[in-house]
Amino acid sequence: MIHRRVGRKLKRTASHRKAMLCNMASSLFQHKKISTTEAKAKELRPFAEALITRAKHALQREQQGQLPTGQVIDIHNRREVYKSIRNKGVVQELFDTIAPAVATRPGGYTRIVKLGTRRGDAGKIAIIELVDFAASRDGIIRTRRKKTTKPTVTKSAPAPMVVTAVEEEVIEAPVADVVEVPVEVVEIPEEIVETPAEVEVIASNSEDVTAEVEITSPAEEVIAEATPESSEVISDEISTDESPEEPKAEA
Amino acid sequence: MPNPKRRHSKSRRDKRRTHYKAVAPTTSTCPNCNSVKLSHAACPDCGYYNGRKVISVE
Repeated sequence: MIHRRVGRKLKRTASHRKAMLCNMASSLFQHKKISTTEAKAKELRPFAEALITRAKHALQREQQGQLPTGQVIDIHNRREVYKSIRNKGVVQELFDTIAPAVATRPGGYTRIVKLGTRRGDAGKIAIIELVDFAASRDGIIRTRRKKTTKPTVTKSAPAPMVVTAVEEEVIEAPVADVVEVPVEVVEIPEEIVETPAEVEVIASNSEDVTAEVEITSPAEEVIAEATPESSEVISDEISTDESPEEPKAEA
Repeated sequence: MPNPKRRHSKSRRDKRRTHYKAVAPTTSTCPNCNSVKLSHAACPDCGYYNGRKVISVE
């Protein structure tokens, strides 16, 4: 019965196995992405991630000032990692470059992708890479869905909304009191100033964008159409007051 | 020590081996280039896996 036996021996003695894992982890931290057999990659993952976690905790201690007095860097953890990674340059890379990059990631720093079998011995080959450094290595096409949805939401949604909103308020403007139109107009320039910045920043929140665009776009045309037609006295004053403000905000 | 009493004939040996069969690997279709690839593995034709380019294929 094979119970409670963890790990692969990989046909090596304990010392050979340990040395190999140390070398592979060192290569992984140096190159961010290595190709090896599937079994070795799966053995390497917990080994390497433990080292990354140690580096991440060291970074937290450094930032929160939990080190012994007089220390700026976490020397103890660096020396512990140096037991495995016998290369000072790679240890420095791990603590100074990799640890800040994975600071917000709760584990799972590496990714294994199977590639199939190799010629010769038909061994299963896989790539193990650091997730946060995958983009810098080769051109990954990421967030394709988000990029395609953003312009469609911002462009398509306002266009029909403007038409409906203008029709509604054009009907209202001559019929209803003159007082209502200025009240709406007065409120809106504050939001016109804000929206150009927010449309770009909060583009992910599609509902917010469309909601604000609805407000701004009818207001611009209400001013344009309400002023010549009706409301001769009051709206002319307001429109002349505010019409110079809007080109500035939009420009 | 127990020992075999009789030699097994070629017929018996071969009949035993009729159940030794090669199994075809499970394949799937690459969503990127529609070629046949191994399941849960990067596509050997286009290098894509899970919507991103994993390896560069020349």
